[in-house]
Amino acid sequence: MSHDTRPRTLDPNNLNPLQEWLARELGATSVHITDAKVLGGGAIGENWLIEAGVDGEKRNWVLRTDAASRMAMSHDRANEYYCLKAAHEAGAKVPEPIAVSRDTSIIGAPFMIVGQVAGYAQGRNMVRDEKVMNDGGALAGELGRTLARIHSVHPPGKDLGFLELPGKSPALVQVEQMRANLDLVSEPRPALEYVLCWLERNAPDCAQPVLCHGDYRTGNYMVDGGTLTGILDWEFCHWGDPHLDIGWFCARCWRFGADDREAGGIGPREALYRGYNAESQTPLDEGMVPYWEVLAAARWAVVALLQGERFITGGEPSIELLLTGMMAPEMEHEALQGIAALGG
Amino acid sequence: MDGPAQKARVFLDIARRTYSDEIAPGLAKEKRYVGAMVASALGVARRRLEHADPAARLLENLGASDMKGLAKSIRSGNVSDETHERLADELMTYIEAELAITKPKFLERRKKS
Repeated sequence: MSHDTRPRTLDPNNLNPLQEWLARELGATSVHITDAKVLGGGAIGENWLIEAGVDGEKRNWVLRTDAASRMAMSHDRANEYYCLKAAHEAGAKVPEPIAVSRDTSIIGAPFMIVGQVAGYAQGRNMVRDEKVMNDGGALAGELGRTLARIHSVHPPGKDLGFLELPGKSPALVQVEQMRANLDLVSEPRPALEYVLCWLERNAPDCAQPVLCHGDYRTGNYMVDGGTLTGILDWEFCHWGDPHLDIGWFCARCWRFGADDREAGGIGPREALYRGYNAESQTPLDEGMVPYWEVLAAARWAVVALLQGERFITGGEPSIELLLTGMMAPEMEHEALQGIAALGG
Repeated sequence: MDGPAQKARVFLDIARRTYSDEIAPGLAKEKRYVGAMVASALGVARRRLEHADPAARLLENLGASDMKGLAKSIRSGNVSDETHERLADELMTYIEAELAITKPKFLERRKKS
């Protein structure tokens, strides 16, 4: 029995409003939910595993509610859904988009429903998975190909009007966002300020912004039997420079200790690049990736500091938040080394 | 080291040793991660007492009076590679001194790689 007494949005004893709404959305005669289990919840919203019959056909879905408190740069569930849907339509391997609603009268919170995908996502397990380790870079290649499909979505996109065009170098937009977030952090960070100045001075132009996932990394995709089954977590999607996702994926901070496998701790970066270039109309500029890895380190440092700030001034007495905030110097070290390697 | 710091060290050392010897081995699997975080926090507190404040040295070497002002000056460009030739090196030294307190294993691993 669970000791978690937090209130849940979805009430398994009152599923009629959701069933009726789903039947209308899916154009079905009947939708009958046979099981609903909560997978996790709290500050990041809730995930429910749902088993349903749609006109008698069994379906397995995941219902995700809106996060109670989300980062300013992240999307709500509905917008996240439309990003995922655009990627799905472009042929990327993502959970099947089923339905979305901002109407709080159905289950008490906005939500989206996607198809359940098999496998697991935990980064620490992924970089030790023997099937992945012995695949000769196959998973990294697959992740490269699916990323190229996501990047094949260009502005304005379908149902993506809520995404703002960068209007300038997307790297400069990132620097501005990081500075705005850094201003919310009580502890001054001179090293990070130095890194941001360097990123600003060296910001590359981007001729054609694309749909960037924004958090494309090990830990955010599902793998089953060594094979990619779906890309998760679309809340940081934006129009941006395609190299942002590549730099984020390869950044040392997302290799989960498997530093010698430069593509997310799961394979050689060449395999990721090859997969990407085989699928993309526009080949990667590999020389740009080190810049975006510096930016990735800075970006993760800012996120870590924001998490730590929830402990320092936000009144959330969580040891995990405090220790996450303390990870910032690792990223600052990474970024300063990256800058030095690029000639300062 | 002054008296209060010495007393704090004694308390932290015995708390960490008791935790490692008597509590950590019996922790349920799902609590081991939290346990590791507790041990880590105690270690940071201990090293924080042991090491000189990395910020003080940075400020002295760059001729700045406080970290907030330094961060602001770097953002505005008043402190830069042009005004301080060794700025990047000083910042790296500062970060490494911080890491020696917060995550010494990170530096050891990076030196090996």
